[in-house]
Amino acid sequence: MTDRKIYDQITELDLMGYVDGQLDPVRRSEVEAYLLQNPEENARVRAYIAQNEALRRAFEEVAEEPVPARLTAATHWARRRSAAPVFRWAAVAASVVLAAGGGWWVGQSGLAISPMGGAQLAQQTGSTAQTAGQQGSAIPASDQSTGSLLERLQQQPLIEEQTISEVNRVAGGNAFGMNFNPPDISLFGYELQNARQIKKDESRALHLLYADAEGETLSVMLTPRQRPEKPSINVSQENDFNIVDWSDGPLELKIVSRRNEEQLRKMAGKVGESMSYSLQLPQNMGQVAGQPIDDNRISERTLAPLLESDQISTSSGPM
Amino acid sequence: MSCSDRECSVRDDYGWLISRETTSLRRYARALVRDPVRADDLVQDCLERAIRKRKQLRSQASVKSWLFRILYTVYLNGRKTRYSAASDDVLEETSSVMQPNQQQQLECKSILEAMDRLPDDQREAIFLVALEGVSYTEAASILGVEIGTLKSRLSRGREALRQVHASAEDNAPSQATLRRVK
Repeated sequence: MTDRKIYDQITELDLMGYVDGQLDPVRRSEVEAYLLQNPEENARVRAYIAQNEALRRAFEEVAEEPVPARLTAATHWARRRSAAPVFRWAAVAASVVLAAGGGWWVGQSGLAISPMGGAQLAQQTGSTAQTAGQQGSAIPASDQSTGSLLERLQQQPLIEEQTISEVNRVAGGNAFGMNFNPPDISLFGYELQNARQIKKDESRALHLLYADAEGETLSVMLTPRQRPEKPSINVSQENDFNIVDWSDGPLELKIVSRRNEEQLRKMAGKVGESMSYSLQLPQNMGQVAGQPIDDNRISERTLAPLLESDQISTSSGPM
Repeated sequence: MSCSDRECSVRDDYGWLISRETTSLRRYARALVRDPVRADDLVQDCLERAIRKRKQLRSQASVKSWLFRILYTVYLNGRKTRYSAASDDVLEETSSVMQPNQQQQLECKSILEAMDRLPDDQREAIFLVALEGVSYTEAASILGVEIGTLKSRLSRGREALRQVHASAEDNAPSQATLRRVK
């Protein structure tokens, strides 16, 4: 398509979508090209973006304020910080079911994630490396190491029918399950590359792999919460990685990255904020009551393959 | 309250699903109402209604959208009465409490003053999309309008804000650096 045709098709809705970060990457690039050629429109769009930023700043501290007791009480009518995981497995279960069924439920991010076969994954891995290379920021050794991480992930089991029935067995007996969209950490420059279930023995987790424009990877692990909630964020180090972990309702979450503690704490807040939920009835529910799985082991077993290698990050080296 | 483990757990999950959106609801309510106490009245009314109607959650595509629809409906019902408090004093209080930095304080005050001049429907649409980052589909559903209507409100409202800003800069050139649009 010629530039002229693209420009003719840029609508006011596209410009609003650009201002609000709601365009897909292709359309975003087209709008950016259009704005470069149209300084007046560019100035208008920049002014709108500045308006958004000023409005967010004006109310950003509401999030820092403690929630008044009367609002907590309004939803606390039945809340107990229970450790009983009667319902807990359904959270991850439902998302896995959906992933296998043709795509995750996606919320505001608009990011469609489809289950990928090996060929697609390889293609995506290649395109990621290629993109990084085109930007001149890739380091040969790092490219290789990024690939090796993805290769390792690729060898882990895909989400399959068999897994679905297992998951349903575990979720069986619950009234309903939850779906959630994958966390959006694009604010920190990370885009989701790959999502898969990691299953080792009886432990399982959802592993979401993100990468930034330089090809540096970051992992988010989601596991069903089995222990009492720990609303505070814990930080630990392992090798050169920082790990933040916390729980949020039915989930326990971990971020593994080379980024510093302060950045990871901010990211953790954004992860929770960006996830939205819906409910669904699990398929084939009620067949067999599930046994809680001791996922204390998950951290060691599922993170170990990621942590044992120092080849994951591509952040060091010349830009 | 006595309940079986399973009942308590399910209720617990309803409570969690709803309560985790409290901060977002408070932010949007604060933007709409400005007065912090009345804004929290709005959120409380919303949460209480949500808990009463919690079984609707099972058929919702998004918990957040559902809660915001409730909040907005409750707000519309009391916009002119229970939640009406957008006075200059409140504006002053909002911006001064929130922004210790003088430049940002002026910027916030300026944008909030300009927002107050907009028609309600444009103001409500801009706050919703800008503050909460919801998709246009969700925002249109929350506000009960078509996407085209939402787009039109965003577009007209933003342009009006830009004109107010431009005119303010013309009238007060010495403030230009403080109110600079990036």
